[in-house]
Amino acid sequence: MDTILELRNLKKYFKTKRGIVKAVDDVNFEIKENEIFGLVGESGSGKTTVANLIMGIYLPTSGEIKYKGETIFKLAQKRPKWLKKEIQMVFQNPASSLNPKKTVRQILELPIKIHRPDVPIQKTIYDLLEKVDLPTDYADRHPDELGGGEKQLIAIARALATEPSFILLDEPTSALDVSVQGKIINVLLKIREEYKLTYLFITHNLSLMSNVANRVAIMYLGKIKELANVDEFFKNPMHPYTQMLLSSIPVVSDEEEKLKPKKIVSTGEIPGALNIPPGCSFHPRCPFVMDVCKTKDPDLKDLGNNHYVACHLY
Amino acid sequence: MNEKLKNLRILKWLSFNYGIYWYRFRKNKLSIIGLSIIITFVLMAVFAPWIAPYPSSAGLYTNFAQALQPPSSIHLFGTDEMGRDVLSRVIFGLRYSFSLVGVVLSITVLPGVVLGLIAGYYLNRWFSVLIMRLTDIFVAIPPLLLALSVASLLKPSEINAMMAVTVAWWPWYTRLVYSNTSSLRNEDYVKAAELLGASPFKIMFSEILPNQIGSILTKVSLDAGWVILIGASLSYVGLGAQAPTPDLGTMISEGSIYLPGVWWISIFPAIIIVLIILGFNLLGDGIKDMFSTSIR
Amino acid sequence: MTNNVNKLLEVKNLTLGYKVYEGYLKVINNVSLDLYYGEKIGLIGESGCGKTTTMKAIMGILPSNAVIQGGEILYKGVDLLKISKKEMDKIRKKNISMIFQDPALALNPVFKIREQFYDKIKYCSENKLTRTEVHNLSIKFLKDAALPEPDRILDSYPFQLSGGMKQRVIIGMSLVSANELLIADEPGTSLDVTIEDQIMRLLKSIVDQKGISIILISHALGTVRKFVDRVYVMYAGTIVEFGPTQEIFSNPKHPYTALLLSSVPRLGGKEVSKGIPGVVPNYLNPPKGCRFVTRCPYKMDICEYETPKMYEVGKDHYAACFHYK
Repeated sequence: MDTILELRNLKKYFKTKRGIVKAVDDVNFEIKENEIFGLVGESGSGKTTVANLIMGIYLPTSGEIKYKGETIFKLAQKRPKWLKKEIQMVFQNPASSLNPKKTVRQILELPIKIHRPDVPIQKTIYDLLEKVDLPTDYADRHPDELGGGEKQLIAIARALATEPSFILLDEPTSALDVSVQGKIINVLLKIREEYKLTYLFITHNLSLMSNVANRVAIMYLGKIKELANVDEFFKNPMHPYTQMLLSSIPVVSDEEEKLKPKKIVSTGEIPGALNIPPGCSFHPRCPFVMDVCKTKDPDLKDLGNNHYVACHLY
Repeated sequence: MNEKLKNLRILKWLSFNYGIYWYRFRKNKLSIIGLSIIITFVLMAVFAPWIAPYPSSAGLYTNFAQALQPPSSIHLFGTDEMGRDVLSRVIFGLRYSFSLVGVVLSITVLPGVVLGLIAGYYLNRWFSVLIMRLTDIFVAIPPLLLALSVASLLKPSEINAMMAVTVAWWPWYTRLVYSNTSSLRNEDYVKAAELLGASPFKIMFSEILPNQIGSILTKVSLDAGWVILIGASLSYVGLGAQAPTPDLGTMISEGSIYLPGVWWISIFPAIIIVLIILGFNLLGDGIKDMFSTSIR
Repeated sequence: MTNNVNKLLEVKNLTLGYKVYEGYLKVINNVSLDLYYGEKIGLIGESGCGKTTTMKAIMGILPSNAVIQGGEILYKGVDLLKISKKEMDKIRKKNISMIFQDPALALNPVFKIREQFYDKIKYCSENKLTRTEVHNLSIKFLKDAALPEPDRILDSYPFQLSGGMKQRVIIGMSLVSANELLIADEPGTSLDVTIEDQIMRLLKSIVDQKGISIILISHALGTVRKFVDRVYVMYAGTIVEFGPTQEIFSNPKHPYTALLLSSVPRLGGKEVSKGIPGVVPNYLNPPKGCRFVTRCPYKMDICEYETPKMYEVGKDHYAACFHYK
């Protein structure tokens, strides 16, 4: 499979009055065509900044992003039209990602008119609604008449309207009830099959990630700490942070409890981005900390079987 | 097929849920009072020639035999120094007041809103900074002072008074819209539109503006009261409508020399001005409630 | 664990709704729940099911367009719906407290923590306290909430603290008045998983140590499972099932509970469930019988027009479903 998106030595530092915030600090990974790549991290990890860099909301401080082999280095609004069409995004909060003063029809018209001016607009709108399993009479409703799950389906339909190849999903179900999440995820999986899409799936819900992603990367304070195929990631987590995270997730059955790694009690706060500890940024909270961890930042090592870890233990 | 869809859409737009806006408006009794006051006065102004008991009092009319009569059953507001019926002059004076409001607001709102949208969307560009600094200059001067200065440079007349108030008024809308726009532009749906490739023009007018209509309309209503007050102030110092055109401010000024004995020439117009401003303020509160989504 | 068979709180057949533009929303329908001394119960349900409304009814902070149609809320035998505002104030000062979902919204951003804490302590105490006494009390409560360096925290503004720390400040503040009952409305939802884990463990240890009863409201089923002794499941303003935690999670009897649990993505699962088809009923015109009837795969004719009562399905385990009559 070809690589569709590649991040090389990507850095994004923000200058603030109180210091430099290293939101993304030397991130490297590739996403292959038609795969679902999962990105996990808590607040301050940099996963949202990575998403914003890919979408062109910011420019990187250094490093490059390549889409289908071409380096993209412009802000979203200055990008070539073909690129704007190719990469789309679904936001976390469905309520705020849809303009409350517009009807569903008007919301869906916008991308069609810009990127596909020669297709019959109304018919395309109805087709999109059918693709996301919504009745076509929703076209004349306003977002505030719809439930959270339905709003998110509209957001997905809007992303689909430009016929993209790559969709960035930033916590698409985190704001939704659990009984509705399933519908959204299934729609996403269905359209991915049908349109041969690639997804970058960002979420903090590890149980969901284990069912959806093909490969998973975990970020902490701007760096990738572990990257592996999904089965490896969950059955054999190597990095202490991954283990800590997995052992803390709440599950609903005893069978799942047995699948979690041995309990590593999470301690301490996630440091603010201005006070990133020297050496390995996780060392103040790490139960296996060694002297070298306090001074030297570990590189991402290849442990074989597509499993990479950034930890001095290995 | 397209034709039918177009008609359906017009119907949908018309049947746009006015109901809930009215419900929110009428929840507060005071808003209804405000609306009633304004509607009453507007109707009086429109139908002045038919409502005023002595329409000729509004023009060149003298009847010195009837001069300075206190309020009575034949002259509800009494007569002034020329024998003209004060009530009729007040009713005709309303015409000038409301036309002032109409002219000033229709000229200032649109450019003010457009400039505010541009400055708020394109933050930190040179033209945004230019627009806002220009606005700051005008806003720094109290509107009454500015209007007085401009009016005093021009030949005193109704039209010139309207121009003077207009000059003083436009920056406030720019400020309001700038402030709203600069926070609305960070909303997810604006970001989504940008990522889709919508042009800035479309984003400003189609995504951002509709979400501030409530705020702008509320200000329009509250401003109407202020415009009337400033217009009356200009007339008070002789810079507005000229004799014999009836005007609330002029009447207060002319009647002031007879105070306190002959009080009705100044006091009635003053009371009317107070009522109109009160009406617009209550109406403005109601409009704010209409657009306030927290009211269910 | 329950150390007293007496009930601290008893909600009996509570029915209430909201008056809105479109008419009348019949939100809460005949809700009953019991809370014993020293017990931890969970109230689970999805957004819009009425859990927060029920809690607001208990706390007496319902919005002005709420209409209580019937029922009682007995707190130590006293009906909270019938007492005066002054008496309710006293209860809020001394006995009950509530923690809300987003700690950033519960703290005033323009005041230091110190001032907000002092205000709370001064408001909740009956006697006049000196400044030193108030200060010492606030240090004590902050320490109870496992906050390091309480002096530094008191001197900070909310924006200088992380989400977890803010939530701990809120917990500390609520301990000032929560001597008997603490209501926690989604306390971990806005926090990261590892921090939520810490907060919930802290809450559990405080509550066990001090013998405070707690009602935990959440739609995060896994969090509730780790924390509470008994669970009440709520759907569309009605309680559909309740029982011991272990029972509810491993042996759900009501169709909604079973479907809800099966919708949760499983660690190590291979696919994502389809969720529950259909939508929550419109409160303007809810179904006359069982409110789950529009989405229930096991519905019978009787479910359409008659509301099921609570039927016993296990030890201390009840479900409101005609299949168990």
